[in-house]
Amino acid sequence: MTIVNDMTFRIAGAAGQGVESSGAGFAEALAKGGLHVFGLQDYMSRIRGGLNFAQVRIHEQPLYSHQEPVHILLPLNEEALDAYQGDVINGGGIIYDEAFKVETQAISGGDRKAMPVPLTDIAKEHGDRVMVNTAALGAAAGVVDYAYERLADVIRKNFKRKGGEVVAANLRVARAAYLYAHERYAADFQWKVQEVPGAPQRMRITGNQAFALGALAGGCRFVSAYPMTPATSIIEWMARHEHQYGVIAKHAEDEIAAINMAIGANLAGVRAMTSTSGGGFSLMVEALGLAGMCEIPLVVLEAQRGGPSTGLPTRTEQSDLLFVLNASQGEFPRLVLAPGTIEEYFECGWRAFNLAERYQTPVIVLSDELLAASSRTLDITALDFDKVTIERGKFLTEKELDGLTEPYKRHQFSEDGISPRAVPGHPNAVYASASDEHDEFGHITENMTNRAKMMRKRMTKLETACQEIRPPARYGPDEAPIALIGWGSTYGVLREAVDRLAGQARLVHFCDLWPFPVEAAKTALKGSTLVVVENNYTCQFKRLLQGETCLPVAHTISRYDGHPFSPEDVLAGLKEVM
Amino acid sequence: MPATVKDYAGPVKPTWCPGCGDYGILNAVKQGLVAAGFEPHQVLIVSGIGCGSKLPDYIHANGVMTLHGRPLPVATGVRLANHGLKVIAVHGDGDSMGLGMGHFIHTARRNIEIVDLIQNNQIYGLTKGQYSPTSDSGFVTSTSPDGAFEQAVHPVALALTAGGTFVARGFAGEPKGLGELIAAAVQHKGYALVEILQPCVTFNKKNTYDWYRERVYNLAGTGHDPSDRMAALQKAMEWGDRIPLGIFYQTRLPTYEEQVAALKEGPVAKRKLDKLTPGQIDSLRAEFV
Amino acid sequence: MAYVITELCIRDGACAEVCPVECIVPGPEDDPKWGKSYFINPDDCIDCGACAPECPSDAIFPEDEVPAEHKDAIANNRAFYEEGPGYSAR
Repeated sequence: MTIVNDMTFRIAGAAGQGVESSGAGFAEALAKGGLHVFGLQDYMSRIRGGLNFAQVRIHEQPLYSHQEPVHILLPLNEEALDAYQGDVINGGGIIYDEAFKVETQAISGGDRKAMPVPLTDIAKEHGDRVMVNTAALGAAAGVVDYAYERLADVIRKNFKRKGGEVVAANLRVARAAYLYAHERYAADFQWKVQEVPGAPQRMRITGNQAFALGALAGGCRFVSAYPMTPATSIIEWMARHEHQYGVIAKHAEDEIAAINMAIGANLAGVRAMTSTSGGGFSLMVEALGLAGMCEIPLVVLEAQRGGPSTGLPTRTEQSDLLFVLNASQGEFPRLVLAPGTIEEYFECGWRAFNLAERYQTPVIVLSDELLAASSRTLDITALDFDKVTIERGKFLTEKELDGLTEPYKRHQFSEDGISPRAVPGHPNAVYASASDEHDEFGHITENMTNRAKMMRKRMTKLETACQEIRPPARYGPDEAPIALIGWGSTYGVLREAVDRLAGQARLVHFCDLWPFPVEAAKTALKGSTLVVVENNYTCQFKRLLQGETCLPVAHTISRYDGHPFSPEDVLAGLKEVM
Repeated sequence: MPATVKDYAGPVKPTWCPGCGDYGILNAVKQGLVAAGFEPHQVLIVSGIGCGSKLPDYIHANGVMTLHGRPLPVATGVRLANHGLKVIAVHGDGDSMGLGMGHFIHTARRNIEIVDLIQNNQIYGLTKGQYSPTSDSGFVTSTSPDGAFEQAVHPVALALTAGGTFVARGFAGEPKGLGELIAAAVQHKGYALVEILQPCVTFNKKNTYDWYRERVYNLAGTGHDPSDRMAALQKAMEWGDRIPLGIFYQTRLPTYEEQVAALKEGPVAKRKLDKLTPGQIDSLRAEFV
Repeated sequence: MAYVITELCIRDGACAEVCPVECIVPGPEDDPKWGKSYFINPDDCIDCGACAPECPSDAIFPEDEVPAEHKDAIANNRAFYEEGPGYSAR
């Protein structure tokens, strides 16, 4: 029985073998054929060697998650074959170089189909031995009967800058491997991939790319950062767009410099952010308080990875939640957003800046390696640029500054806690802020009455923000007995789990985490057994939810081995706890 | 109408100890800015934490008192966002040579147009008398009861080897001369360091006004050539019985701002913040198709 | 703004000793006009306040706190440096 357009390819090998680029190329070829694609990266913290894979899942319907079973494994070395063959589903295939020293029988345990192809020989014969990856992709396309031309298009595009000769050679190699594999293995292989006629043009984009787009659209014109996995791609993307969009991308000497530069830029009136991971955020903690105390807008992107300490640099985790919510000494208002999908990550990109300037305080966008690095196909209009607004809050315009008659008070008391904000440079609003406690003018004072009033002023901003904080998103039937609760990147996997549970469960997903939407949470979670699913050991979101709402969480499904949940994990976990 | 020293007078009376060198520094900063023709709204003073770092609270100009060791990166962010502002960093020896040492080196090599005033009193004042990275070897304090074991660092020498394009030293006991140095620094295109020797009258009983007066001398008039970096470095290593004051080194190199593409059309902060155009949106989307 | 030495001055001299910028000078002792006092140069004074507490006769005030009956001292201190001997008297 043929299964069409519902499978997962995994390309695996050592770092330096081209796993990532091959995966991307193959995903593009599939996307161009109208398939929906979910791309998952799995890589080690090294430049050469080790084991990495690029996993490409396809479907005709939109995909929000990867899945556990692998239908075709393309190991580029013996180690990868050894390590991953057990992940291949019954009836699935392993396409590998005939030259590998492996026993065919050893591979076919559990009815897996060994598909040796003379990849190196084909590469050498028709082009060059470096084209062995192209041969592998050609073979994969051949086994599943996918339109060769789609692969050919990608080859032409990707190798164009290397000249016509190289393009032609790669095409010959791909074609030869395609035919070889198709002839020998296609007939006996259950899974097929067919182009979807009339499918619209789609984007294929990673989370970080979407966030950078959102930030740029939202008026971000300054990024200062220190390279740190998995956040580095954000400043790199901005740096590439520096000339065209007038964005300043500053690679700072360390994370402390990075956050303080962003604070300085915001003080001077430019929308600025810094992007980092947990370790970098740890260094930034003191400066977070500076922004909060001096009421300077700031956006911080924290893309979580496996901790603690250096931890698992290239792996995913959701273990910085409570840290980010509470970081820095003393008390001041902050907002925290943890987008669940690439679309939501884009939206947080511009929303964060509006919130930061409206409340004149730090806004932290919390993502993780899974969301940052995985990719999905999206309709061209899925990232909604039309919805983008640039709202600067009580930002005094030139005209308003011209009209000031009283000495300017940067920290003027007000009912909503927010003061009119002048950017330095106008003669009517000359002021100095202090990280010490200060009066309305910004002058240092230890007067206790003023201190108490200033504390209330700043914290009132959080109460004001409660009015526009979004309730959790809901998916699935309202009457389902189980509520699967997630935050951040688990949206996708939980959504798919809900689909598979066919009415037994529904999803309640939190993006806006602080101020915590207490009443909205209570409403959304009413009437179901609460099961929190999160990538950490100490059940941080459960503790937050229980603390803020007093709702009893019945179970937690945790994963803290550096790998994301798959829908299968969630189902298995649910079975275990129920 | 050009600004006068009176225009820079702030409403807050300094909390510094009577006789503190910071009074001379505050005076010189005002003199320097006036001499260079700046008005209070055109200036932004970024300080760290310490006695001297309260300066922005006592002067009528834009300012921000940040974190210990961190005025330079904040100043850098301000400058990149609005390079129409004259940005001055003010911090002590603990702030700049202790916690902020990394930022100091990178700011100097960046040649970003920031005036860096280091108030060097060779001690930690606000925390009441511990030794500092610029304290002389053997200096006895509560955290160096057996005398400081380390050698002192010298901001002037460090700035020279880090590529600083304007490197000078002044003395709080000679506010006129210091004011002239600050005026020159404020007009320099690029990073400009003015290390300022200042006594801490309350906690440093060794490096007093008299101690400095016996040792300081002006480089100008000695035949020192400020365009000669090696000569400057030699002078920078001179400390002890003789302490040179004045401009050690000055040169003109492209500033950081002059090299940033985004700043070519003027300060980013002054640009109108518009939404992306449909053309730009299409082009961005197309990157991912 | 500057500190000002009023006619309460008894020529003790402690003020001059503590002045960090050496802007306090005694008038020449035998001079009928300037001989009774020390004088602070209002342009060079850095307002550090070190002098005032040292004065045994409490003759020194910040300019904005000079008592009404001693107000001419303000112009007088300046005059010593502009018309009188000034620093050369040191």
